[in-house]
Amino acid sequence: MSEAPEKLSTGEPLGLEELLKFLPALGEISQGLLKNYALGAAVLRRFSEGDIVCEEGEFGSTAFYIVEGEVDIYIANPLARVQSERRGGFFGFLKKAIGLGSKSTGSEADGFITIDADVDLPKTKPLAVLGVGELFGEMTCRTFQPRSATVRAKGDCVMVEMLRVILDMLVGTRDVDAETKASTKVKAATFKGTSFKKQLDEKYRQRSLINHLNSVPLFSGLGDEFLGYLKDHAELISCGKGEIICKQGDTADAFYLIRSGLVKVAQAMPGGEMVRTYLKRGEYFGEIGLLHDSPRNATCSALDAVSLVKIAGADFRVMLEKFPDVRESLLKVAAARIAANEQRKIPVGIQLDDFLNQGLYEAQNLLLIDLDHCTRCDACVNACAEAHEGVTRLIRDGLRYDHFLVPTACRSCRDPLCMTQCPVGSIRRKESLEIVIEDWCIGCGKCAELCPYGNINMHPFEEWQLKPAEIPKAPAPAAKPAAAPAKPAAAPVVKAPAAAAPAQEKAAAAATPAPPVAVAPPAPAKVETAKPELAAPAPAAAKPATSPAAAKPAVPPAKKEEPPKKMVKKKVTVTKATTCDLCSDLSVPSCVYACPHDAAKRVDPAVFFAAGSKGWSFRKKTRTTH
Amino acid sequence: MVLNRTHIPWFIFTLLATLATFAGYAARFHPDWLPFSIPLPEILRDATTKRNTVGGTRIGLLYGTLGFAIFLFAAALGARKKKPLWRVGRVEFWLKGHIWLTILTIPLVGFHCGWTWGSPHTTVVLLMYIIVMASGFFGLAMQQFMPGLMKERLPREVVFEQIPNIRKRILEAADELQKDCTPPDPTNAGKAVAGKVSLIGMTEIPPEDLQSAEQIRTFLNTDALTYLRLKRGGGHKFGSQRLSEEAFRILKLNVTPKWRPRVEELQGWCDERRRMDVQTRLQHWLHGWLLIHVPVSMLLIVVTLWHAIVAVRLFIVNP
Repeated sequence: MSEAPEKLSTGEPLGLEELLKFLPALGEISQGLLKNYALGAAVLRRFSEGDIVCEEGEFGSTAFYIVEGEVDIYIANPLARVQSERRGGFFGFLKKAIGLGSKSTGSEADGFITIDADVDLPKTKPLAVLGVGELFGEMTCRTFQPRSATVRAKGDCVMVEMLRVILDMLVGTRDVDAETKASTKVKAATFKGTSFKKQLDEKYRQRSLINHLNSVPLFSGLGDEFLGYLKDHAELISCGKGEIICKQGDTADAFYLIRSGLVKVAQAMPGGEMVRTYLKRGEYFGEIGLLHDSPRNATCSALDAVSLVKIAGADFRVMLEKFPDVRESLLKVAAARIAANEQRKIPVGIQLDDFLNQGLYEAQNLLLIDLDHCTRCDACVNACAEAHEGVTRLIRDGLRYDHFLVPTACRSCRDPLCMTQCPVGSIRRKESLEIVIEDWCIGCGKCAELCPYGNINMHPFEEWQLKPAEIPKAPAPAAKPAAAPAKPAAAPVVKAPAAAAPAQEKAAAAATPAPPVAVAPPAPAKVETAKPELAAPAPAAAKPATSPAAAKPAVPPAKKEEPPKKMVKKKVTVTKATTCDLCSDLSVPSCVYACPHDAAKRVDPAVFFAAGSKGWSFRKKTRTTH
Repeated sequence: MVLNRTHIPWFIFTLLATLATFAGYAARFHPDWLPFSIPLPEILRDATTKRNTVGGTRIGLLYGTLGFAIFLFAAALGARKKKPLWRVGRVEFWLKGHIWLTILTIPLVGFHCGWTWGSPHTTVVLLMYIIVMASGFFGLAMQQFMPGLMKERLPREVVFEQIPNIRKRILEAADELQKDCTPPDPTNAGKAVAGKVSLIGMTEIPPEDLQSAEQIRTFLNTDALTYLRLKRGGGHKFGSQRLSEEAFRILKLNVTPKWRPRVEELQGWCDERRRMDVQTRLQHWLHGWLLIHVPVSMLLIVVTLWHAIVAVRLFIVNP
């Protein structure tokens, strides 16, 4: 770990006076600390209309504070997924013909996509606007997770781009764990925070809290009046990594709605803690104890920097009295959560050797192949491929446990690590066990990286997108300088070839996003109307350049007088994460259904193996999930 | 498919159906075989054909038709496997039906032809039927113990289709080892892989290193590379685990401790290669019979269809 504070190399360096001018709250920090840490840790960035500030999926370490202007914040990756063709052949044709084709399971039309800012993006049109005084990129800055959305200047705008140290000064330090400390050069000092945090909270309270509450299906039935009441009475709290929000056994005194970050819900069990789930922005917890007047049944802690909306127990009870529908909904959710917990009891009678080493204990729905039955015909793999557009999510290879092969296929872990760092929350678990990757996956690959069993794959597939039509090349004058391609108007996307950029430059670019180059944005409104299901400004997306030529601080603005470009549909290759979804809209997963030899089984290992070797009989159908 | 308790209902059905088939045949042609008389429906009590064949009678035609219908169902298993997503019953169910119903065709076909070969044309049909059934029984027998044998003999299996690639990679790695054991050309000094003992890049080679490298290089040239390049390694001495272990033990004694990890690495590749050879051999036993079973089955369907057309035509022309 370097002792020297990290510096930003792109943008206009800010002296202390300028920094205080843009972020006056820093005046509450001592001059000594500011001199030591703040110099070089924040820069002024100017963007012209259409410039890409940051792009979804890229890694970064900075947050942005808008000083002037507005930005569009959107998801450019199309809302799509690798389709699952489950009803092929004659019956599929028949069902399609009579309109009973399977609906997209991926997204509910009226939902929201949570991103790394105080706004949610509607799934139907994943676009929002942020204005002066707003902050975005906080989670990326704190936890180095990939950017959750693409941000593009709506007009000319000015922002302060800051490293974590400035963010900590402004809103207070939130502890980082040893692993993060070891993996970053950022020197993390401890700060209490400033009035900036209060301003930010107040802004959120005034501008976004009601929208946020409205975006939660549970609260959508509350009237404006009561929402206004909650807005004024809710407490906004922040927690550092690992901080316990409520503890199992404590008296339930509040209800929590997650504003940002990830909350781990765990229960103490004989032998250790068992993680029940992870909750993200828009989700809530703490209702069970309040509903049943019982102590907390789980410990909830912040997995990273977490901001919460805390509704006091008294207000919560008033809400339940005034809105019986909300009470009914909450009771249903609470019952489902309690039932889910009941199903996950610790197994007894299992020999704990490979069972623990192979992580089978974590699995809730495990694909097993009985090697005494399997003729290695690969019917399971072929069926999986057939069910998912030719891309198998099952590889018949893996470790063995007794006479079973544990192939590479999602096992629906109790502690789904894959879900912990998704910047847009697109990988999630629904009411049932299966892990689903929603259409708004931005293809950053974090989930695949995190899965300890290699059960998530990144899969490129082709998708139709609106792109600016190519302009026929006019013969270039011989005297034209070589730098001409940097002119933004002509080429829609110019990416510096990764291979050409030296490794150090790449690393530097990852840490400090360079200004975008050659951006020719179409008007968002136009694209949205052209094809709303495609993320509107996708054609304009351009990754920050990594070449030395692109590392210049400022980019000439796009010419505003340019005539609007003609948009054409083009096939582009996008990357999405794929994992086994247990063929959840079918009664039996395809791999199991297609096995001719009764060798492939989906089981709950805790139940299946609990009775010991004598009980491992496939005759007892009750012990297999499929 | 392993025959186990789940097959009991199928077995009982096939047994009962066989008994019923026998009873029908005996009641029509050999009532004296039965301890009691079985009243056949009027429709099945037609006169004997001119040629005195069983297949030409109504009950014989019924058996023949049922047998042919089962042939068609059995052939449909191939199509069912090609469309694994069709929700028309688990493939496992289809395979059980395939096995037990085709077993039922033995009495059906037998009683249809009256347990005689008949004309040359029916002889051809019967011979094909016998080949199909025999290959099927062989395959079924293989499936009873071969998966378990593979599990026992192969502590680690690789994806079968990947075996040629893995063999290629192993051979490349062995070639690299050979280069590492070759004294470097002073005019063209390369760079050794980090963490691996190699002569590459060494300016002054100690005599013991040179000697060890020479031993490994000789071993590679005379035995290991030959083995790894063979299409089928079963005949080579490294195809035997005992002989291979012995050879490597001697080599390890002849090299310095510094070079032993490289020898162990090479031994690992040879072991992997041997495992893949075993896997290939067992896989061929497990699936090789299909090369006969499937095409002859298809041919049998065609020939049986032809037989049916000819028989019906004869029946119409000369009833």
